[in-house]
Amino acid sequence: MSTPSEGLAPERMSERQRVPITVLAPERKNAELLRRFASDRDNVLIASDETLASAGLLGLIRVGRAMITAPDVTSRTSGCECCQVRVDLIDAVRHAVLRRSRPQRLVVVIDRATPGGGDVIDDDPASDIVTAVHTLQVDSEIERLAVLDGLVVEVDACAASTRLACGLDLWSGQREAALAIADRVVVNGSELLTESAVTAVMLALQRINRIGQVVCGHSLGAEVDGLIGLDAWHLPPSTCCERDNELAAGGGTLTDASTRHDLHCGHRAPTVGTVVLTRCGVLDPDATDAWLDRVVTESPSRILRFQAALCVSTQEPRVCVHGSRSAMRSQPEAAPEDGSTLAPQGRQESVVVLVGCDLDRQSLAESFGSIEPGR
Amino acid sequence: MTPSLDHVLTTAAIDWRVVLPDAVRVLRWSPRGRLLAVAANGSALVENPDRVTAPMTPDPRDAIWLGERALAIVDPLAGVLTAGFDRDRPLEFRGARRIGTHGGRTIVAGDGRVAVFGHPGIDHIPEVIWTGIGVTHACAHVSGSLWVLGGTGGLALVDVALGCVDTRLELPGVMAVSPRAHVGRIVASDLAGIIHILDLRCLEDGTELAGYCDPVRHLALSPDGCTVVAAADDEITRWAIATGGDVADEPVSVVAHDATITVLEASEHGFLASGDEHGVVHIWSPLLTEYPVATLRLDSEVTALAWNGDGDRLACGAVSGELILADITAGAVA
Repeated sequence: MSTPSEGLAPERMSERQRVPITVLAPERKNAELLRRFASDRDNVLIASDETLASAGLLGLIRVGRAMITAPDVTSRTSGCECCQVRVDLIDAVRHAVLRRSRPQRLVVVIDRATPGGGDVIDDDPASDIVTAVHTLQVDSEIERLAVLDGLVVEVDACAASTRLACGLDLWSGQREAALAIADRVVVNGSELLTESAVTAVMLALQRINRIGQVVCGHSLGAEVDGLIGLDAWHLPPSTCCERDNELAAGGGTLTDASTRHDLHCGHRAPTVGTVVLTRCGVLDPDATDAWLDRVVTESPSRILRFQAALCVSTQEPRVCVHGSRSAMRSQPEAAPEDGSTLAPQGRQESVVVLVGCDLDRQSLAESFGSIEPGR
Repeated sequence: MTPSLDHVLTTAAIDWRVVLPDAVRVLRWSPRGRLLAVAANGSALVENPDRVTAPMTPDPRDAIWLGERALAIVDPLAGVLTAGFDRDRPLEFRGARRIGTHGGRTIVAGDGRVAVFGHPGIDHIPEVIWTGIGVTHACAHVSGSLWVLGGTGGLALVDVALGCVDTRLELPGVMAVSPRAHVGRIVASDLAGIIHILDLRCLEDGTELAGYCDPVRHLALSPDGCTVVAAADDEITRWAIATGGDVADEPVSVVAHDATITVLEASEHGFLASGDEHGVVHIWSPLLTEYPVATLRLDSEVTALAWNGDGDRLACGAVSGELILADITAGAVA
């Protein structure tokens, strides 16, 4: 076949960088954070008409800075919950990116379902953050055009503090899952609480979220710089889990975030847990690949987020693996931006972080520990 | 145009080239060969390269000629906009995504429903048919008053004269459909990466073509209904269907482009055009499937292709707004 050669324009879509996507799960009836994202002219919002209307942002549609979407969920495998995707997001991202002037960033807003303006439905797949994140990772067209940058979840400090004080469940179902896998949890309204109440809310959130950062909304100021450019779905797992108690098992090191919950308090323990596995030395690539496949195929619906940096060669950089449910992507670990090189010990350490429901921690640690060493 | 081995001498000559204000989203030919191009910002070019309208709608998704003098554009937010009917407001239809017309009826497919207009310039209140397949992503006329719709929840055959769904088939997210009524066949592709070859008389009786890693978004059925052409990644695959309906065990595959294929369009005369994300458009002959017989180049990702009714003109649109019109002359040995 003939090949294209001469006469090509200097800028081509494939040579341009993929558009970063920030997934935002705002607190219901609070448009402050959404407005901050909207105030940045580089951002294009993808949200429901209800959300844009309630935030007074419908006018952005006319100037091409917002796109309307409505949840449209289907399963790639009939009846399989873990294969659910939001087709509307694929469509919206495609139409938002394929413009003459591409957006610098897409902000996908995931609302909680409130049919007829009534109560929030917590188990609706249309408002499930994990389904949205899974969609953005699994679809080939989105992978070609855009890249998931980070997940930002907003929390109302007053409501959380009230629930905490009353002994009610802090978060349930999808909200808890979203908080557990978030890269940034933004606590808004904390200035209305006492210092001890804020501390209690922050601790409760840190107990659920072991993978990202919990930040106060008022500390962010008017900008959202701290919430974008995270590249959190490409980098190796953050080290925030290293503070946890460690439990050696099966040759690997296991950290169990949910064991930190105070069993004597009035709330139920979080159903979502974080398992951190670490291991020194080079792993056999084929055995590691088989282990990853096994982990995903055995319980894809239970894995909300997967993040790993695996050392499978003494010569090559570690392999960073990211995913949610059955979607998994990998790429070589990038060198640090400051030009420094990783310490030899860090280069040869494999770290796996699994966030999920009812994960069998002991079994995971044992199987990870039993991966054959590389030669 | 009769396919022959002379197609190796096929030429593609650019007639004119113009740049629209935004990415080219939709290209449509009228029955007599007038071109409509709709850009992503809602502006439209109608026949004349010097005649581009102001933006008409914020998010155009599909468009259609209604005869030679009128056209309609659908937008999920704005509804159905018509031009040429002295109408100054769009017809309300939230979620409108696809539009088609045949035999004096115009259908607009949207979120779980189809609106059937006698004539969008006259009718204000359409007949609405609930499809039960969720959001419509693909729509094609089959024969008579029968249309096939592909949506999030599957496939539906809709009889717009009777105002009802004839048959519905549950499939995971149908992305593309292509019917050939004279052989009683429909092909559809879904999000699971499976192509379904279906019998019009009984949709449940079908053949599944698997082996694709990703969803097949670009699909065509040859005019004789005997070859299914699918594009995924940089490959074009052709599945032969025997007269009795048996499908070949393996497809004939060719790495057709150096980059991901973004558009595939079949002419009614057997030729095929494929465009990629590098702006390359290849023309393929039905008898010479391993190599393109002609190539065109645009300055950025190809977003739309359209053959005219005679199969001798090809319109190509790019994400930069570049639009070219090429005369395709089938090769012939003197």
